[in-house]
Amino acid sequence: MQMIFGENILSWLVFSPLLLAAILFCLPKGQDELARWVALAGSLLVFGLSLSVFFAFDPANPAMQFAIQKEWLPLIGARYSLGIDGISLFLVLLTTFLVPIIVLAAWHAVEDRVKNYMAFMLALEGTILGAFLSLDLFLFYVFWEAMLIPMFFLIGIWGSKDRIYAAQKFLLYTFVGSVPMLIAIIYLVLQTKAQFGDYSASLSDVMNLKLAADGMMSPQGLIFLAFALAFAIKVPLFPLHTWLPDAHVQAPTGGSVILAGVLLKLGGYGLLRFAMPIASGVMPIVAPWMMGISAVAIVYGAFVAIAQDDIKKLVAYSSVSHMGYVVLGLFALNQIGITGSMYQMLNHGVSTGALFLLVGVLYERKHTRAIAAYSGLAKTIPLFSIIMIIVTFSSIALPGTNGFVGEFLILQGSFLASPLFTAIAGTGVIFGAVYMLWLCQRILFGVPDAQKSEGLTDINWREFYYLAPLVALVFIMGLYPKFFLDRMEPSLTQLTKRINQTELKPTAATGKAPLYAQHD
Amino acid sequence: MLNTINPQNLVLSAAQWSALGPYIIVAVGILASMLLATVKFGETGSRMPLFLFSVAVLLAAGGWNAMNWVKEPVQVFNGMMVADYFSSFFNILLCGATALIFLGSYSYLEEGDLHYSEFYPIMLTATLGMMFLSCATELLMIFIALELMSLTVYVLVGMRRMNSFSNEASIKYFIMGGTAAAIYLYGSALVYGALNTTKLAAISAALGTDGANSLSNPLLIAGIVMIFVAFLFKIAAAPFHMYTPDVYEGAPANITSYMATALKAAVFAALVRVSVSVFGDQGVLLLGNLQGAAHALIWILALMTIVVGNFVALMQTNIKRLMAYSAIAHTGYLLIGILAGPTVGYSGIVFYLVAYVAMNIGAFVLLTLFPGKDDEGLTLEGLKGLGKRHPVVAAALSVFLLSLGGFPPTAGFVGKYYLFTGALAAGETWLVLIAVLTSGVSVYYYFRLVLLMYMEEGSELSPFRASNFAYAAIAICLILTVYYGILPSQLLHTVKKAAVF
Repeated sequence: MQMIFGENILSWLVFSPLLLAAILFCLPKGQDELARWVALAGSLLVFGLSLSVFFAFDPANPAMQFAIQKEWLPLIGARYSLGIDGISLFLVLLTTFLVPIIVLAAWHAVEDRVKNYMAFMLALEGTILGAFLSLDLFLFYVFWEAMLIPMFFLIGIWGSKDRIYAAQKFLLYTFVGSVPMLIAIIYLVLQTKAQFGDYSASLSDVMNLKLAADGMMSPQGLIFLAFALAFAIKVPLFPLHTWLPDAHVQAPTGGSVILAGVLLKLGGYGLLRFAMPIASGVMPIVAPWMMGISAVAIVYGAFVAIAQDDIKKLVAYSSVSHMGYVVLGLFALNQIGITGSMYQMLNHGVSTGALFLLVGVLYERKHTRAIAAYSGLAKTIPLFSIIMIIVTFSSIALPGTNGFVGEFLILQGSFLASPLFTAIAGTGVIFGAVYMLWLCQRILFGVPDAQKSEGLTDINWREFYYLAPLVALVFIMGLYPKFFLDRMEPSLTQLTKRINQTELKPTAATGKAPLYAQHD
Repeated sequence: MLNTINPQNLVLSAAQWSALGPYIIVAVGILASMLLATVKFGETGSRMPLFLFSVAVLLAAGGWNAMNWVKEPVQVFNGMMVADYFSSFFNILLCGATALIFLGSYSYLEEGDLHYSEFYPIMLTATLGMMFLSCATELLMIFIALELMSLTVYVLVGMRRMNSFSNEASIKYFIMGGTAAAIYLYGSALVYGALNTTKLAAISAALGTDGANSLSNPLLIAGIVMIFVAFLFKIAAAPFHMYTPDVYEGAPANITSYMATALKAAVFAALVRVSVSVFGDQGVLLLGNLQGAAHALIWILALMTIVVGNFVALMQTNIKRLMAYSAIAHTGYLLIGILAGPTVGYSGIVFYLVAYVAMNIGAFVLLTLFPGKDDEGLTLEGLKGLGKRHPVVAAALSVFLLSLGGFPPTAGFVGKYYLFTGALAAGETWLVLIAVLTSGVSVYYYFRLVLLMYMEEGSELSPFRASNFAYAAIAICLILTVYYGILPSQLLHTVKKAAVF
């Protein structure tokens, strides 16, 4: 496929879902079955496109690949600039991989305005991919904000009872959290004009800026705060997580999956790609704080999860805890920790995505998410229970599953940076096991109750098709992490160096930072 | 000093005739449409010929500007007015906006029994006043233009003769507007007393060479402040915004949109010209030691306008009132541009005005499609379930609301970004921060409308006024809103050139 799309393959990757969304919107009313098939075929096509990028990707090259750069708005320095490297590669794949699964999961779960649901999902996919691939701050911000719109509709139209409240909370939280970032971006663009003579919002130019970094009130400190606020809300990092349980609980299954699976990753990705390298000068100051907050988030999320009586809410709070690990690893500022965080983001996408899908499976049958409404599922629906157990193991990071690799690397990395916070975070592993295993005990084991198991059927073929790939990934990523880590490593090595370099030295000849030197 | 009416200055060169082209076209159009308004077409007295003629006049005037785009400024009537890139740009914008409003009004007026034939000449007259505002370079000329526009708009606001709200709005607007005009006139008299001139260029020169001396003259300061007060009244900046909600609510919806868009754009054009002459090339710098005071005043006004507009809009249940407060908030954003100064701020104002005209007229034309003779369908209740009943209409309204809220990829986002870039370049970090944070509030109320359309079930209201003209206007606004959201590069260059004085 690379042959067909040539050098514009990343543009196709971003815009084909948007195009499909437009086509879906234009489908005639009442053609629900057609809309489902178009969405499935389309999302598989996009997945194929991303795979073709993956196979053509040069694992040894740390730089941006398949880069596209076109003038867009010269007057404000914005360029249409896309590229993919080891950091964004797997996040892109995760996105394109999850969307067909979501389409399948929504096959019968969504009966109302099907084509619009599918269209919004694909529009969301396109904007997420755009945000992952953007190498220009303006372009990134455009996609970053634009993705709120489809997500708002997904929660607000197809959600549960309090969907409107949840949709508004999600929108306002993220929008207001993002505007300081907008100001920081404008500031950076103005600085490129002052220092290089021309407006530029491209990441490589912005990273070459010389900005004072003495203290948090210096330009770099404030820029970090502005970016980190936006990204910490998206992650979501305690204490900015309060929108997440509402959004998750109210969102339809597909919405929850994409929210947990990919949208939250944009927070971690943003920190790693934008906030940390641009404000690398203040990293020594902020890192301990961020690690401390993450450690609290991990334990807090786990404790709150223990107390939940709603399965979806429990999974939502487990997300708070798990994403806490991601931030902990990032701010260890060493390569082990950052690699672990990257891996953990993928793990979380797979395992939490699967958990939400499983909750969706139960909800489709019994229309309740209360833990108390289920018991003895292991006897009544064994296949479901097996998958649930595997995913639980992944979530509590049992060796052999993907979760173990990520958490181990993160804790190892963060131990090098701060043994204290690592010790606190380590307890989160135990509490994580507590709430997940207790959940399993309550709903899977015990005596099946005639009334509770009424109408429960084991997963059907359609559900098996979309759950099986996730289960397979749990083991593949758990047993052979090298495959993934090898591809991330070159880019991460470079980025880690960059983050740890407090003095900013642009390379003399080109003025371009070596990291984003174009690949030819 | 009276050489303004020296006969030899009234002999026009070819370039000057050409520069006056659009104004002559509209003026002749007004007279012709008055004659046309007396003719009864068909059995029922169709307004179609008058409507088509008026749109044609506007297109001709706008087209003339587009064809004879003035590259070098041409002074007309001994410096009373100037035809330059800026005025050409605004003439096209104003003629376009009015034409869109004509398109959107046709069926609205028909079904509201409001389709008086006077509507067209009056609207054209108001538009001519607006066009004069964008090109006037002399205080009295600005006054005449301002009054030409205002007097006709007072009439338009009261067009719904039998409706007490409409009458109240008209009277209220008339009295308040009259006061503002008097303040303006008094201000220009004081400026004349202090500087012995009413020409903007001469004022600028006097302030520039003799800044310190002139500024110790309280007459001059009072005069300039009064002129600004009148402008701030017309653009509905806090604390001179009190009339806006009532007038916007009482006026027929199409006139509301006219006031919120074209009128505001025209007054901003004049405000920009006056600001250039008073504050000079460096923005609010020329006032010397008064720089701080002038800056602080406008700063506070902009802040108040944004905060009042956005927060009070939250509590509105009538959509026209809500849009009135949202219009106030947008005025506040534009005032930040005034604060940022000519080099970085004014082009942002021009761009934002274009975006604002497109998205606001689009939204309003959509709202005029609502059922109800006296706009009684224009409540939050009326929006419920619109997404199911009229998916395309609801989708279009959503796009306009997103744009008003500043979401990418729409013109509203690019406009805000560009405007705030200028303001940050001028060092207005705090104001921009507050503006963008309160725009979060605006996102709440704009999205609440979207929410009602899609996420609430609505009572089956009577069907829409289906109107091809209105659909055409909506389509044009939609295309502009989205196009300038994605590919604004060319427009950015144009406004950059337009805002050079």
